[in-house]
Amino acid sequence: MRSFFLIKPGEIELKIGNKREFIQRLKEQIHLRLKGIQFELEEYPGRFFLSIDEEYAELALFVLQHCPGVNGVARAIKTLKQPEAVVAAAVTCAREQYERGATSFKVETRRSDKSFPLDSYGTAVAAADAILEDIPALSVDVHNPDFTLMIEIRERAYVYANTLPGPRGLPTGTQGKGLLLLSGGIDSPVAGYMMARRGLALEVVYFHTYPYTSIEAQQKVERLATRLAAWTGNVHLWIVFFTEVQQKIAKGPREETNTLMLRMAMMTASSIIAQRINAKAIVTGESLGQVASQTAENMRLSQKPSVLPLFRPLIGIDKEETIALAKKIGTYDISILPYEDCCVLFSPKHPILKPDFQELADYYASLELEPLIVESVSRAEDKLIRFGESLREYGLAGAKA
Amino acid sequence: MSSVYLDWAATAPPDSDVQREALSLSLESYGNPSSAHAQGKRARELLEGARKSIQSAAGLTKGSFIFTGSGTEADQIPLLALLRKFIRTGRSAKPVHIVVSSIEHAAIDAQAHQLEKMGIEVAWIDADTSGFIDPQRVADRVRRDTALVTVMAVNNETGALQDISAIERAARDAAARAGARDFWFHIDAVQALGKLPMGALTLQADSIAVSAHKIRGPKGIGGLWLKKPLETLALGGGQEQGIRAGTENVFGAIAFALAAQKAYGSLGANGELARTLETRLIEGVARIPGALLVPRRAIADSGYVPHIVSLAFPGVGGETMVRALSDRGIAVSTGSACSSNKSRQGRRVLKAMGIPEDIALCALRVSTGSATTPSEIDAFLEHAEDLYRKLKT
Repeated sequence: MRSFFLIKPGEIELKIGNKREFIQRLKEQIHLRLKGIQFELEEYPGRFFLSIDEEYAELALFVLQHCPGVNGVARAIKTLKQPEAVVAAAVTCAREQYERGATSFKVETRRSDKSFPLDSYGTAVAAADAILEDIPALSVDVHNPDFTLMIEIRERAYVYANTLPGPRGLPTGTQGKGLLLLSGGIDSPVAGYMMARRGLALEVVYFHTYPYTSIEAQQKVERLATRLAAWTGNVHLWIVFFTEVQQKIAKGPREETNTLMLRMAMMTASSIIAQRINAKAIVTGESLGQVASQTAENMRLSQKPSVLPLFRPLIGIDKEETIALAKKIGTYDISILPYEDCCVLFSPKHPILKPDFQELADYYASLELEPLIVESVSRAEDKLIRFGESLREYGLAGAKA
Repeated sequence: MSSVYLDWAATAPPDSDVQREALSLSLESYGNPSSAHAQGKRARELLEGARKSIQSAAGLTKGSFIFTGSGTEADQIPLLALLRKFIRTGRSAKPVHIVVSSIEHAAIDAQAHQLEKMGIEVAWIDADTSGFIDPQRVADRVRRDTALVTVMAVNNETGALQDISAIERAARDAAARAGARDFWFHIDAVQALGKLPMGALTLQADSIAVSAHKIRGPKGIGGLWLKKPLETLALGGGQEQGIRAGTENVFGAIAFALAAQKAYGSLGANGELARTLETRLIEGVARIPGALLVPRRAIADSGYVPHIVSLAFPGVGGETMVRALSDRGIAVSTGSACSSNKSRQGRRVLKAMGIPEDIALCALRVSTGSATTPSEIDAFLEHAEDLYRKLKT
């Protein structure tokens, strides 16, 4: 048995000059994520159709619902372009919805093939009549139906009922690559997801300060990166051992700047990695005013070491909204695992809120962290987290490859 | 890598002789102690023998002793029994009030918080900065409707030995003055068993909770001593006087009894060893610049048991030290293993004593037992000092 999925790309359709390239990218991403599985992907104006063995239907739906560039996806019945076949498919499709509890429906028809014997209205009426006859408990409601039965008459006929949402946005990689600073908290995975939706492929950097932070904290970040891989395809994770850098900062004379200096050091390291991997931007989960280090003044300082644009997609979003997004993308329950450490001992009791830019930039330079940072980056561990691992993380059986 | 185990208060290394003997006896007599046939009767004899043996070794006589699944379960039984009374009277009819120390193990603390959410009134008694519960503070909170008072005998994080008899006297006097019917006095003695004779506690307590794995017995078995019968919440096949239903853990009971006999058989020698180790540790800590005892205590301070010492390396988080020491083969903990699962709860006891957070976060617990050697203490001191120097920020 084959399953058919109708894929609706969204924003790509609005592109003019590089539409071809974007479509190519989307197809590549779907192929990458379903690697090792036999399937067909056909492209038509404004639509893709994916046909895959029934055994992999659940996997395909997961892939499509997590693939940026996909606006919506529906399981469709593919049938012959004959009125009887189309009507029969419509009844099958309606029965499925009825069995799931729907009581009202309407029918919409799109007919690009004008050789079909019935016009759009005639097709809809024929389908509706057959449905009402077969399932008398269903009724037509054109204003507020429980489901809308879609019939598309194209090169073939397709019938489907429910369009499930995709992530929308732009296909992974169409905007190049970004380096995400991933901490293990709630915000940074959400920031990664938001930029992934804008077409950024992601690599991820985590700063490990063992024994101040635990192995469990690192494992938590690995799990978060794995969940992100569901949205971005493969993810490269960089683990930078930052203990000595943190110690050197803490031994400096200005305790109240510890957090700020650490952020500047992380940005210096991220900048080196970003250039090495040819990233076009650095992504953080900062939100204006959320904590002391996220004031406008402090962000001016912490971004100073970066030579690349800094993307902060959560900058204008409050914590509640971020939490809602984290729950939606499945990172929240990992982020709240209690492996936070005693960084309260490193964090200043009275952090500086409105620093003098030049004075603190000079102080950062005077700490002479650069050699230690370069060394830490050179010793960084890197792990490739494949899309297939994210399937396991989400409890899905993976592709064969 | 050397292996230094200084976390006996979390669990004591099992005594293999004890466990083997218990296993072989329970394999021979595998019957259900409630069965009427010979196999059942033999198992019953072993179970009852184990019970008597624990009672006489520990001095838990003049009452009954029932086996439970853990020390935690033994703590929960008297607390949950309150619910029967509470539900019978109804919330509006008659309030139920209990008095609980704020430094109890999670077994009591979490359960009391749960009862509080269900509508039972709880008076929480903080300890002083040395870790002691002031009898007067307890007495001040006892009311006419106080149904239960609970204070642990030995604190599992600080080793503070509570003056149970003074607390009981003050509380009972206060209850009498308030014209109250007598309250139930429960003692968590999990860290006291095998280290102190229990006889004195039975004079004051209505119930006492203990556990086998803290005295080198197996995990999965505890006990509850009861002065008088208790109406329990959970019912079943009537085992253990109906208080802890479920087919009895005969292996666990035998092993518990053998471990108790050993512990009480060498109580004096073990006590001396613990004092020697405590002295070595406290003197050693004094030589490490910056390190301190939390709470401060003298060598051979009669207010604390010698086998549990809490100390801090200010500026380095307790968890950081535990990890770094573990990498060098040394096992210590930040406090109760049962609360270190939840980082925010981890320092609850020290906070309830009023220890400042930046010190509390750096606290470590070193706990010793009958097989601990002076060289283990030395190894701990040497590595802790070295790590402190390296990790202090």
